[in-house]
Amino acid sequence: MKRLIDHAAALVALLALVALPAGAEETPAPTDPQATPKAEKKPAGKAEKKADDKKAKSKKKESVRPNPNRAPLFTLGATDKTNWALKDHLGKWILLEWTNPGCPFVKKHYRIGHMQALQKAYTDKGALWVTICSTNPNHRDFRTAEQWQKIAKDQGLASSVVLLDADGKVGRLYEARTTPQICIINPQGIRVYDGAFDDAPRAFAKEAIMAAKNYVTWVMDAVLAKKASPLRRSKPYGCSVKYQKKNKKKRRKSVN
Amino acid sequence: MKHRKRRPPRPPIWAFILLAATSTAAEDPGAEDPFGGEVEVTLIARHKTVRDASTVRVAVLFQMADEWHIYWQNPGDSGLAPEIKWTLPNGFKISKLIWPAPHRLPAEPLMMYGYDGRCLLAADVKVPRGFRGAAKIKASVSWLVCKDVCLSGKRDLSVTLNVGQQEPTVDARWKADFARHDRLMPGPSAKGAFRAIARDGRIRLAVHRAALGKKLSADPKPGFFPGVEEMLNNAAPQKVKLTDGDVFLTLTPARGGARKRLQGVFVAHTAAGRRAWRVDVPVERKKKIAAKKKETSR
Repeated sequence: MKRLIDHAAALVALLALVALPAGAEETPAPTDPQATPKAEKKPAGKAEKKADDKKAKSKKKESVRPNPNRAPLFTLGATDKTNWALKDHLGKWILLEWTNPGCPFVKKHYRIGHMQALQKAYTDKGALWVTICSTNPNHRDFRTAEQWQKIAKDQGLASSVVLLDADGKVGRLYEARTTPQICIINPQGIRVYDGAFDDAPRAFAKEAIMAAKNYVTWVMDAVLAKKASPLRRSKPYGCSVKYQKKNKKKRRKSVN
Repeated sequence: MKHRKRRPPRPPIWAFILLAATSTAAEDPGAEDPFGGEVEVTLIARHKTVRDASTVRVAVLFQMADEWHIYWQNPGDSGLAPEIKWTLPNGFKISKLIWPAPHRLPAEPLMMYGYDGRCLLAADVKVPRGFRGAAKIKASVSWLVCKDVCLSGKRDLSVTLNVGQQEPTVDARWKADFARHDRLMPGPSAKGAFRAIARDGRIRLAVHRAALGKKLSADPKPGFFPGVEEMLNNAAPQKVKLTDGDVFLTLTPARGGARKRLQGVFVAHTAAGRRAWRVDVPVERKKKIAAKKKETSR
């Protein structure tokens, strides 16, 4: 009997071990408050309102002073080979998620199903979740539309659409710097949030990721409850977006 | 390692076999990446033997393979600074990390700050009075290392200091590394060496050359590294103007980055090589009353 218990205990321990998120060993460092992205709180909502009022009053005025938070329009090819245009979808809440399947900061959220869960939660509430990959075709992390269809299936992506931005035009237009990075656009086409996915760049273990303050849920739960966005910008963290080089300058050489 | 505690007291042999088969995949998120040897880390001390009640400099030596880099305390547009957690014997104290002058790591349209090749992240250990014998200094180091791709890593390191009454002896193996780190460590500057003035949406950093006590060369150009994240537009080029008495740098603040102080590191080349100075000055605002009046009357 004693031996049986030993076996059972070992089995349980093993299961726990295998089930441990892969990142548990790698980067379990508890987050240092100094190192977490500096979030700027702003009295939100004003900018959107202003812009909308302006729009209503006179279109001329807006063309003189465009709202810098207005989401620039774009059209990109989706992984199902159809075209997706932002202007066709205004009127809904839209989340843009910059991604790169090879980036450890992206993987850490997908590995535990966290990103997919949020994709499902907010698309279920009527928002559009747009996953954008701006990785250039010469990068080892580049994936074709067909490969993306497989990734989406394998990882259980629940976003509304996956868009490929191989030349990086839309990423540059939105000043996307890292993967992941999140931009939230209100039904009027104004960006109400731009920045990090959460406040824990050093969290790799599941418990640490789940304990982090998630900026997407913070902002979305507020705005869907008709409150102002509690956070307008934060410093995005992660891998750099793998942009296509514009000129032939050496990329990795350190200078100064 | 956390999971060791979860092991039952007497696990049967088959468990170990299974454990060996699964542990690699479970512990190492980088296992799927076909890399290795991109960075080597070693904990080193400047001295082999030291006296009690003295200070000894220790450091984590990062040796990066070609093209790989780690990040500065402010990594810039992406990346993540390394993190070091120290475990010291009772009564020992350790300073904050001493980061050497970083380099620019451009990846258009982004700009990062960090180190490639070989670099030290150092700290000063204070040995308590009356201590004798071997003192084990431990460091738990985690980092992100990147070239066109990024990998995260973590290692537990240690170094032993022998504390005695004899004359301190320098560890010859690391002499050159520590000497280089000393030269690249941002130093203090005389009062009035730096002034920051907000103008036309930019910040102008004026550097009074005489106050730095060294002759600065114009090529390679001097530059400023923001010590605070999201303070400057990292990728915006810094305009540099050198006059006989001053260096003027034009810096571009980050979007929404209204800052009251300019904090960071000024780096310039001198006859003796690359040097760095700490900058921490208020951003002065020039009141342009005349210009403002014009604007409002329009």
